[in-house]
Amino acid sequence: MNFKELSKNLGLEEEEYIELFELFVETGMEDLNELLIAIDMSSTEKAARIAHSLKGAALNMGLNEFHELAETIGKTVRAGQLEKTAQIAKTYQEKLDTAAGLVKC
Amino acid sequence: MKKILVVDNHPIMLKFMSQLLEKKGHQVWTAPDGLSALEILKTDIPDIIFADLIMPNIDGKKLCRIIRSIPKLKDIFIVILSAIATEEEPRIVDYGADVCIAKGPFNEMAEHVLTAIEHSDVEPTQRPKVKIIGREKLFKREITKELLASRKHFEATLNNISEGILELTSELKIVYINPAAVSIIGIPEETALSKNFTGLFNEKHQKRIMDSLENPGRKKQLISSEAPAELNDKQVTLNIIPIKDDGQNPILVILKDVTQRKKMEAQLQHAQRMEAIGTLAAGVAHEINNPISGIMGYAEILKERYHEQGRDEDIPSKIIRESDRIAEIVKNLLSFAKDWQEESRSARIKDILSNTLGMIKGQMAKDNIKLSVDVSNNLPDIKARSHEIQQVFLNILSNAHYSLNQRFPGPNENKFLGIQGKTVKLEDQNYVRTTCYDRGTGIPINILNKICDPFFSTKPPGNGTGLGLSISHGIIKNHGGKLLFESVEGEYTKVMVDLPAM
Repeated sequence: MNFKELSKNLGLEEEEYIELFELFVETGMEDLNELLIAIDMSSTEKAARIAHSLKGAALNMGLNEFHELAETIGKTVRAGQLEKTAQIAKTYQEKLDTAAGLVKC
Repeated sequence: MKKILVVDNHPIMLKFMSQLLEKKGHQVWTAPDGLSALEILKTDIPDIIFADLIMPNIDGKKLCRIIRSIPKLKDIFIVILSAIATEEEPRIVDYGADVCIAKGPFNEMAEHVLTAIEHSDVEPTQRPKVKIIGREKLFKREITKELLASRKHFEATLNNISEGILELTSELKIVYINPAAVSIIGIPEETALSKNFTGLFNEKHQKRIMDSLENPGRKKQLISSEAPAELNDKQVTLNIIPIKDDGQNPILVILKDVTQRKKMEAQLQHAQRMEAIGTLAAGVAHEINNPISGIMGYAEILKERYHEQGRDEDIPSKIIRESDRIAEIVKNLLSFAKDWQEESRSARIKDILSNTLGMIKGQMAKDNIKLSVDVSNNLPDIKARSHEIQQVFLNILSNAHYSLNQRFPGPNENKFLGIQGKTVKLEDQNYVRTTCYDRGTGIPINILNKICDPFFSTKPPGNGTGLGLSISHGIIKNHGGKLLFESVEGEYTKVMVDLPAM
């Protein structure tokens, strides 16, 4: 993940971007936990809302990979494929974990 | 430098906006929802507010409306930041915002935010119609549309349901109120939002409401129609439902206005009680009548024997006199209960009244009571058993007389009794209403519903049987009429006798 380029794309200082990115990881993790609970409870409306929030944040940050994943989560939720949604949510979680490690280095 | 308030529930958005605006030298406050924004606005007035549309605890739409309804805030430049700008376009104009920016990548948003700040210098009256910027590059939004559709579905349901529905924060502040709740509570939505819910209730009910809402076990609570709470002169039931699956612990309250129902229940209960008492009275009277006849018969025999023996004893006469009194009470009890045999005839209230007054006028004049009678000759006739109606008037007027003497033992210019007759229309039927108004002691509110009960009396023992009004009630009911009371203790009593006009 190239923070220099990502921040430049958004017209932000790299430091500012990293600050925002840390928040992105933190809120993303919370959202994913909520999403997995919502899936367990078959609460599709709540799951759709969380998917929407994930997608918005990724778009704001110019993070295309996360944006696409979030979009897929939204689609599978709407299709009622909750098991598949849970799988993708876990992939999203792993990617966030990896990205969080990058910031810490 | 501008003072700017940013309201958004997403921490990234708040951080981004703070970074951007502080870098440009502006002073920035942030709030995670509409309710927190209103808290800030109590003490600080910003030049510009950036607000998200969909937020918990008072959303952007309502926040805009509230701000526009408060005089000291109404000229603030409001910018909506929304991911649903396109879908909500027709409505955004109504919210009262000045500009709407579609949420998107931060570099594009930054540009729009700075342009909007430039626009904010225009005088409020010169500001152009709301416009939406940045939506050209918005991503596709099937999900958004669906979410909005489902949201609108719920909104329509909540707007049309007859129960009042409110959402409260864990601090008991109102963050949602539907139209039915607005009409029960009687204050506009803009004023109700962010207010403390318990504060809406009459003081004596507040603690009870607070206890039900605090509810440490977070179980559903019910303030039922058995003992409803009072709010805005209405009797309401509350269904309190804590929402569990949310970190914020909001509370849902369902309000129902049961004023009318309680009133009808009370009327029904009263009617049923009167009926039961009537049956009981008839039974008791019948059972007592026989032994009384026996006692009187034996007393007569005793009297006769004493007489034959040449003894001068007055005890048998006393037994007969006391038994007579019992017989009189029993007769009165029966008149409360029994279905009358006598035929009703066409009669004039004015005639019945003058017969009644003829009996008590002299006594009233002696007690310095000013009497005013206003009963026209043109009132319609009633179908009645006149001597019974006369008995009712006699009862009512005697009570008024007694009450005036209690309040004013001597002469007084307020020692006044007024009688008025008029026609009233109730439920499509014309009634002749005779109102007796006296400025006597009045009736305490807590006994107002008992005064027609047999043997209920406030007079000292020996001064009344407690049967007068119960008999009157029975008579008027049998005539298809109504006996109504209105009174303020220490000021006045008004008794209305409604009898069906012919």
